[in-house]
Amino acid sequence: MQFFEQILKLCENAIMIVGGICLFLLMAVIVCDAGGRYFFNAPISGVYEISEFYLMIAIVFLGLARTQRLKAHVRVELVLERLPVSVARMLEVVFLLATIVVFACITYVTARNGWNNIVLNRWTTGVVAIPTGPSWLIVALGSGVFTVRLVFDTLCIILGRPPSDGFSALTKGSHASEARP
Amino acid sequence: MIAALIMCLLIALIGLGMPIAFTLAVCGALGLYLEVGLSPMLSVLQTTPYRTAASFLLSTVPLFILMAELLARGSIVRNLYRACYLWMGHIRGGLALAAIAASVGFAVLSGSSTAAAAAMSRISMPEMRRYGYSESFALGVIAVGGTLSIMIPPSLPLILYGVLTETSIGRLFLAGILPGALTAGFYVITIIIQVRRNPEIAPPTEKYSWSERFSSIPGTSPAIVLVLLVLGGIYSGAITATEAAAVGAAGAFVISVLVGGLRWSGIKEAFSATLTTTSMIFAIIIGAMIFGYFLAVTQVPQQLVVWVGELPLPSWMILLIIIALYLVLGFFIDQIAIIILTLPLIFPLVLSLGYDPIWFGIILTKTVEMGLVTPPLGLNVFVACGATNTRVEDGFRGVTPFLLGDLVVLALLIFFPSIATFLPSLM
Repeated sequence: MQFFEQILKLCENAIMIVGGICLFLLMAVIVCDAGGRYFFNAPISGVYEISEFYLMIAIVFLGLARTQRLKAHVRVELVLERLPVSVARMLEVVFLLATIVVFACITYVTARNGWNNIVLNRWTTGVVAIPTGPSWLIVALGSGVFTVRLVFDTLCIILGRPPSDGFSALTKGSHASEARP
Repeated sequence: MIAALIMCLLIALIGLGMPIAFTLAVCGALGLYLEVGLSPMLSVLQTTPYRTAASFLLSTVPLFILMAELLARGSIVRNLYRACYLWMGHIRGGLALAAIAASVGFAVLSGSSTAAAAAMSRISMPEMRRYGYSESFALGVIAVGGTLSIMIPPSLPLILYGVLTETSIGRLFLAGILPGALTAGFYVITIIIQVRRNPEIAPPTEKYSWSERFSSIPGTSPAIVLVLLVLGGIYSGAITATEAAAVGAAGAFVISVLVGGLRWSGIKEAFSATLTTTSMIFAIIIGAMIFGYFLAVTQVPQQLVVWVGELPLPSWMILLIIIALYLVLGFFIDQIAIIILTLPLIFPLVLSLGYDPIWFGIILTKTVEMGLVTPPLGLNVFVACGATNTRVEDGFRGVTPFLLGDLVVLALLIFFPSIATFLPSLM
């Protein structure tokens, strides 16, 4: 279990770093495009497509699992906090299982679609053509690691182990600035 | 029938503490499965997350968050606060007034209220403590000052509102200027009244010489350059709102690294905080979009509009009920989540009642501002207290007088819609 947790954390952190790099690239390419257009009348073509299909997808999905590990997904904790621990745990397992089903579906269908797009060699039909398959696989990767994180969290609760480095957004305000806008 | 059951399930699960994003996704998927079957549900699950994230317009969200996170960790805002308190620190309550002034400055630079509250707690709390300000008063000032960030453009909730309702973000930003200034004005009045009534909450500080005051001005130039870049860029038409977000984030990055003392650890923190917040917001948007498909299939929004239209109530009464609903939701649920959660249902209703979408966006943002500082879930108070190691109860106590001012501003906005609609109407 411990070993598994280390590997999972490693994966989460690795894909998050890729997400961070994509965030930096998003900033850089949009600035270059705007600057090129404004100062030299020479916009960079393809910025729009790359930003949408690759950078934004990576930024959104590659951070999902780590956000779950930090327990930073918004929830109303008012009732949950006042329930007996055993009931709260049971509810938490139900919540997690329901989420696992949906995100396992998302992982499966996006991976299938990404694979099909690669096999059929599909490209976008814009000024600049880029392949679409890999960008679907990014969604599948992010959702997949997220699903594994959910399964791991569920097992932790069932086995009575403390979750990773999670915290409650309500009790530790200093972390809230990290977690929300 | 299925629609009613799923809606009840949604409300029950959110109330019981299931994360809002996942509740929306799970209920939406379940509803779609029951209404139209497995394969249409899977095709919604296939395309919705992808299409939602692959949005050039929504790339504004991570970029503006990044800008705020970078600014909060460098010294640009610190210099701004320093200049403000050198100029007005000697007035009674001057440090508090300077904190509001610096919050306005930060608001013009960023659209994230918790980043603003976190930055101002680190910067202004030590000064206010040093001169013996009452802790709850200082916390109140910091927490409400932070909320200015989302009314004064650029603003994260207004961007989301604009994207979700297809309202012009540029016009929404313009509409936020006067209400933001009005709110700041009411905070200043609240501070002055409180200090008059209880002088001991804000002991006087030393007076600074004119040379010291003028020497603080060059330190504010990075902030002014950034404001010119971002807002000047948007309103001169040179760049779009998305590009302004990228230019702002890049500007904050470069300036903070060159002159703002931002180091590698700060940069890492800023990027990681931005990714976490972005994932959190997009998870809710994606969940809401999946749920939105289900709503569209069941025609609930249309039926709701018809039903409310047939109610024997005047439209202003329905509007007041909607606003009250937002204020109540703001006690318990995160503000961004409320906007995304309710707009698909509420926005068509408000339009059908004949209200201005820009004006309603501002009203909504005002209720969001108040929700950020009201117990039991007042995020800005948690952030201010967390960052300064103080008691949350003190924070909420300090916020209370300011909430009265907020209520007055909300009433003014409702009765004089032109406060919000005047500037955009000039465009």
